[in-house]
Amino acid sequence: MLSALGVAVGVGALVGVLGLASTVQAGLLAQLTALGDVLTVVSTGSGSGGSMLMPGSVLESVGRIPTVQAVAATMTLDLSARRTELIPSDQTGGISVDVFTGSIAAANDAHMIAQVRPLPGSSQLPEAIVGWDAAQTLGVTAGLLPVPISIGGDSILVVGILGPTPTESNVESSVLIPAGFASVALGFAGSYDTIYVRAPLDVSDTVASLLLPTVDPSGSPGLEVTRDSSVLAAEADTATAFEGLTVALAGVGLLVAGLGVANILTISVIERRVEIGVRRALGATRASVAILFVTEGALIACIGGAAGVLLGGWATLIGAWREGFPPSISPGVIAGGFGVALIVSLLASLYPALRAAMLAPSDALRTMA
Amino acid sequence: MTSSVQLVDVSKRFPAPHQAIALDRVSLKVEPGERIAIIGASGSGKSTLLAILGLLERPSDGSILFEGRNVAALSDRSLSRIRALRIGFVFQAFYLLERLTALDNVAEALVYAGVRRRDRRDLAAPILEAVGLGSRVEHYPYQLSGGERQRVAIARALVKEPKLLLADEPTGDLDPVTGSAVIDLMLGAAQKATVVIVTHSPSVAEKLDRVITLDAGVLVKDGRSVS
Repeated sequence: MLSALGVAVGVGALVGVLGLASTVQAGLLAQLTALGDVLTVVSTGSGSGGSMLMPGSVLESVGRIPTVQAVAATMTLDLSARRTELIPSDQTGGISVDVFTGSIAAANDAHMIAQVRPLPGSSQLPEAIVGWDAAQTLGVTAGLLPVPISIGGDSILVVGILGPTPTESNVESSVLIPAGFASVALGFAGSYDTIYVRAPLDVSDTVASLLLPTVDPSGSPGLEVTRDSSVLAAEADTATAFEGLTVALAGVGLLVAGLGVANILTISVIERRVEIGVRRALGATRASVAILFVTEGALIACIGGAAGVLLGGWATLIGAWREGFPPSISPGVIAGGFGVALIVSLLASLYPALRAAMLAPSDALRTMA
Repeated sequence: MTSSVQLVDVSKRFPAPHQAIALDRVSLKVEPGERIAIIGASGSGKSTLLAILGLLERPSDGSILFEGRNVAALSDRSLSRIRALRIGFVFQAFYLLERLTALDNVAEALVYAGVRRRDRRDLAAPILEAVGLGSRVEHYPYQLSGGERQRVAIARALVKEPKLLLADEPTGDLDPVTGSAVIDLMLGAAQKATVVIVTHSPSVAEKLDRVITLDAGVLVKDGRSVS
């Protein structure tokens, strides 16, 4: 049974790794197809004369690109946001203060998880919404809303919390101030460094090709388009990138388990010398003696393989729950787990079976005389 | 038809590094229906001779004719087939399979004779009855006395109705009274078979028709039993 346990652990690791990788990959790809794609136009700061900012007026043009579902824009200000003024201003906590306009939640494939009231970009009230990470850093929870925070020495009321985005967009760590207020109170000039565009996944290629010409018909350098789908696809690839390495490690585990099976069966041959001799005296052929031990190896394979598939299945379920994806184990992985267990155990039983078959019956019986 | 086994100048040497000679140019013929005792001191080659008669060992030199066929020309599979159908063994240490009942131990002998699973127990039960163990069929070896275990072993050897019954010190682990009963049982049950018994016991040898004496692997005497 212990040798079967070794096989079970090896198979469990194999099935678990493959199951988890396919679960994560399937989940990410499901996200891609279900949620559409978010394209980001970013000012890279490599244009002549410094950063290339985009005027707010281009949002209307971008919104008119066919199949575009939502548009928003942000501009990062050189201000810090703190929970209270008692916190030193240099302790930014990684939070940026951004001016926003447009459908900031929809354009980032996110939802407002808490809000006292909607806050449009045109609002001139000293109010803000905070991204998911920023809310946690500032200690802003849904139950506290509306809650004042300090931005550049001024008190701003947080009225909403933006939920997480599929690819951890920058807005998650931002305090978002409406452009209307920013232009009145902060001297905001109306140009943006980032535009967010949401479009269906199957046409995002086309949208991506139209974005830059729409935003900047002159084609100046300094703007770059990135896509969530590329990021998610890369993450999906990463989920399987280490698959080979971990499968190799599981393979090493199975090799060790196989050596254990071979060891146990070899000891069994030694301990059952008398039985082997008796069976040969009764008329057993070498082949039937060998089959006896190969059958034991196959039994270990069945028990170990079944237990390993169950172990691997449980590992995949737990991993899927942690990642928030539905579990995905293909029948091929299960069959492969059994197959690997069978191959390992049968190979491991070859030497003991051969040794048993070649044992001279009179030698076996003489031992006990 | 019963068996005959003929040995012609058979020698058996143990492999290196020992190279000890277990049998040295032994020639004999076992006629059908004979009752033979093989006697000799420890290490005289008795068990080796029995193993060669039972086709468990191949000789180093010489030839064996089993029912007229040269054993050297037969494959291991063919020899196994002969043992399965024609030869029964009884050992000093009984060598029952501990995880099988008495009935299944006897039935196990029929596995290699090609008897179907559902018929084996049906054939084994009457043999156990014949050796006086009808009430012990479901007992495991550890639940049986030494004499009872040897009787199961005898039943196992006889269930396939062998033409040649070979027993290596069958009473060695038994007291004299039980041992004598076991020999009588064996000879009575194997009426049609050729019986060869290796023994230290003169009283056992007396029950048999022919006595072969070995000394240091050499056949020194081969004659009728003085009884």
